[in-house]
Amino acid sequence: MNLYLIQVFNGLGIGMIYFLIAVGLTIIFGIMNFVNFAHGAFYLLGAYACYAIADLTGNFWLALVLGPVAVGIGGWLGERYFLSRLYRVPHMYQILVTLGLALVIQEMAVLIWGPIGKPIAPPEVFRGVMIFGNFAYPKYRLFLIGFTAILALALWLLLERTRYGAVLRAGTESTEMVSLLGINIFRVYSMTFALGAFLAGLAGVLAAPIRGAEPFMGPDALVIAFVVVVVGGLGSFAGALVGGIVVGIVQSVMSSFWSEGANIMIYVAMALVILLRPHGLLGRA
Amino acid sequence: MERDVSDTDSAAGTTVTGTANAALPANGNDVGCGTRGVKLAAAGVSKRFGGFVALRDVSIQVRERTIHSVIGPNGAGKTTLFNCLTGVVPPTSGVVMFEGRDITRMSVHRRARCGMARSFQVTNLFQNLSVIEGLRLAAQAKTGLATFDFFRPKERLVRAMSDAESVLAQLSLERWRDIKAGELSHGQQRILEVGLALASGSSTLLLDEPTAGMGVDDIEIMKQLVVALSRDHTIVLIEHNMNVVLNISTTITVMHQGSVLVEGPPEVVRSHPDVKAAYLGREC
Amino acid sequence: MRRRPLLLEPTFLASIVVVLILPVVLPSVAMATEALIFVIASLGCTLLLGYVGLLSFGQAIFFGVGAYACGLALIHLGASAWGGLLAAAVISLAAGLVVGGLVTQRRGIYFVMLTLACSQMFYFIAYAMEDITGGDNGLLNVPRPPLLVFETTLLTLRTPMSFYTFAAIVFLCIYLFLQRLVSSPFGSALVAVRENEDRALAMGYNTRLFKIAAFAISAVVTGIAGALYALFLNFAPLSNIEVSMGERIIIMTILGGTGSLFGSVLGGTFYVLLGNLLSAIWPRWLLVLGLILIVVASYLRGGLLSGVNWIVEKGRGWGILRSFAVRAWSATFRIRTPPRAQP
Repeated sequence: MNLYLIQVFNGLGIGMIYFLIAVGLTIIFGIMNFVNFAHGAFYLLGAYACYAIADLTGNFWLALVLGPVAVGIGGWLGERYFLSRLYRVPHMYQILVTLGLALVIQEMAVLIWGPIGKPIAPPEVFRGVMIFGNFAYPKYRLFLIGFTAILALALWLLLERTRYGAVLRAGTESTEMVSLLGINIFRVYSMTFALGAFLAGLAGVLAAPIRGAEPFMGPDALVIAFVVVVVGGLGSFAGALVGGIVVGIVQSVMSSFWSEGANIMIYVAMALVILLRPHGLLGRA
Repeated sequence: MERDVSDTDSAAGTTVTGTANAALPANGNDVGCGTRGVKLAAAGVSKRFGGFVALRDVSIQVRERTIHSVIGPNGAGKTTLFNCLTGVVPPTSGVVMFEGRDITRMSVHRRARCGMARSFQVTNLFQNLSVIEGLRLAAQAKTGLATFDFFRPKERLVRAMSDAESVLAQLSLERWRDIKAGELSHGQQRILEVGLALASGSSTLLLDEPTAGMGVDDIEIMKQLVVALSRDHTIVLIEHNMNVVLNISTTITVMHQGSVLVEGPPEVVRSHPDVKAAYLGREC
Repeated sequence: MRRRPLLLEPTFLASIVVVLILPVVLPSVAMATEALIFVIASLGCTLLLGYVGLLSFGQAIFFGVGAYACGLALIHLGASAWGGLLAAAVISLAAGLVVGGLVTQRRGIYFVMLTLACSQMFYFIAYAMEDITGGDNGLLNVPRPPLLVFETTLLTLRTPMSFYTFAAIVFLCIYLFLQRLVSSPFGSALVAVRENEDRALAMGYNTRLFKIAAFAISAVVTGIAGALYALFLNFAPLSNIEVSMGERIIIMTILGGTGSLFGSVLGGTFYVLLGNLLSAIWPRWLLVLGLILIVVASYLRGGLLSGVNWIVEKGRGWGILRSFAVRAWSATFRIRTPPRAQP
């Protein structure tokens, strides 16, 4: 019993990281209709930014603030000067160009930091475990769940309660309409892309103390984000949240039954969702 | 929310289906009030999108080898009815019958193979393929298992090839036989749009605004084409151009706010007070 | 319209020429063999991408499954080389039907995501089934029995050249088969799906069935390539079924150009040559590949195929370059009659 509860908590933490990656992917696709295969690379950059900053300053909190911001700025520049030229080309070429970009970023990471993964220690305060009666749980993972929950709430408020959020939601329905309202759609695009990169970078920073930073983590994260999006339904915030948590929990609970098969079960779950609800758990037809 | 709809769907579906079947002729040749058998019929068809009712209990009967036009102001539900007939969206309740068979839940491609072909309101061709290849593909769709022949050259499928050539001649597009469909003029593309439906060898053609965006001269050509086709085809026509509709239709169904307002031959519809009211607004 | 017999189609003749010159031009016969194997894998991808318009990131599934099936048949059933290929074809066909049935539930970007996810799923399955696949270590000691035809040894498959000949025969058969397929009624229906799926559906094509069928055929072709690879390496590594293998297959297909089957011949050869040369001098050569992919996807959408075409067309006024380019081009493409020995 205790074991499963721990696995559920683990799954929740991992699931929230998946959510952060997938939500960026989903809003970028929702408003810009742009398929970003380099999204996993942002996650990779986040993890390495965490490593570099924590290594240099010894301060995880600085890394938590600066890492995602750096990735976000990188994403903004990339969108502004490079990817924005791709909006009119068919999806296939967007996929190929961003796939090429992901390869370049991955290989650059190997060149800079070497092919071997780098471990990253959690911050001082959150090392060790917390004891609840006869139940012990790593402090950092508790922090992760709490922090990402607050983050999800903040993101929800940003999307639901601010002018930017309103523009974004309107843009998901009809980009043309938004431009007709006199809003500079290209600025919205840049902002959205930067936000997506920021969130993926944040996921990378948060995941780093758990799994370290290694150069080939990008593609795995991308595929998981796709599964989340397929399970939850593309284009919706709630879909990414539900999908992320479902995938995280399935993965971690299954790992205590059948450790080799935990990863398989994610995809079996996805196949089931596709067969039973082709548009995802929360997707619209 | 989706669940709510589907629950009410099934409830409404059962009740309406019962009455609708009783109202429908058992087969296509059963004569109602006209002289020709019913080819395609909708009985008690309703369609809801969430809370919005796009079609409310619509029944029409399309008789064999007639031109049956569906008209109405924007938002009257013409396109939704058309989509229910062609299978793009399933009706919330009600029954669609074709040649005496219930096809309400039949998929788009199976309806096509039963002999119902459609054209599109927004030109929807094989832009990068030649005119003849598009027609050949349409004709090939009807050849059944031969479509799965993966070893002989496609030109050897003589049936499809000769059907395509004869439709090409019927459309008077011989000169443009080998150019890409996307390079035709708009008027020619509209003609080819109808041609692709025709080439499939279907007995019934559902034409969605064939004259959309056409110039005056081209409209005349299209009009003549549709009339010529009606000699051996049953035609359902959605059309905005009143001149065309009143000129060539056998029967006209006027829709308004999701329901059938008036149905009858052009003379009746032309002078019907409700039709004027629907088009010009309630104040008149 | 008079048709040339398919055996004399220019690109098929060009393929024969390529098969003949590859072992001479490339640094080693082994590299030529590897090139041909990836050309076959790329042909499977071209069928999907070029003719049906389906971008599948799941080609590694079939490549890997084909390699495992062939290896297992040879090790455990003592199958012949033909039997190994047959096992690969049958198992990949089954995998193609299952995966195709699942991924064609959705279209567009969802389809792409699903192929990627399925690819990852098969990777984890292969990884977990260590007893059968050898897991991380790969399937070791795949034998390479001599190739028999009616009890007579046709090829020993012992020397590089002997194995190359085998790969070349398989390649030419597959090329010919696919060439017939793409110009058949079935092939034209695939093109209809690519060009306008909704219209094809409205005309009565069960487009999903066609997509699944194309998937299955592509799976068989890719699986045979995987089987040849297992025979070639005497081993079926886990990396065969990794997502990155699928990406490699897509990249070489795009590099070559998807406008015709011959693009695969250019793309597969180019990729293997580039990979071998660059990785020898710089282990991070994927960086270069990423840049090439970006450039090709941005500026050279038709791939090498269109690049070669462009050079030939522009070359017409350039004197020496012209005559060189045109001659080289005609040597590979414009041959009207098969080369014949003088009496």
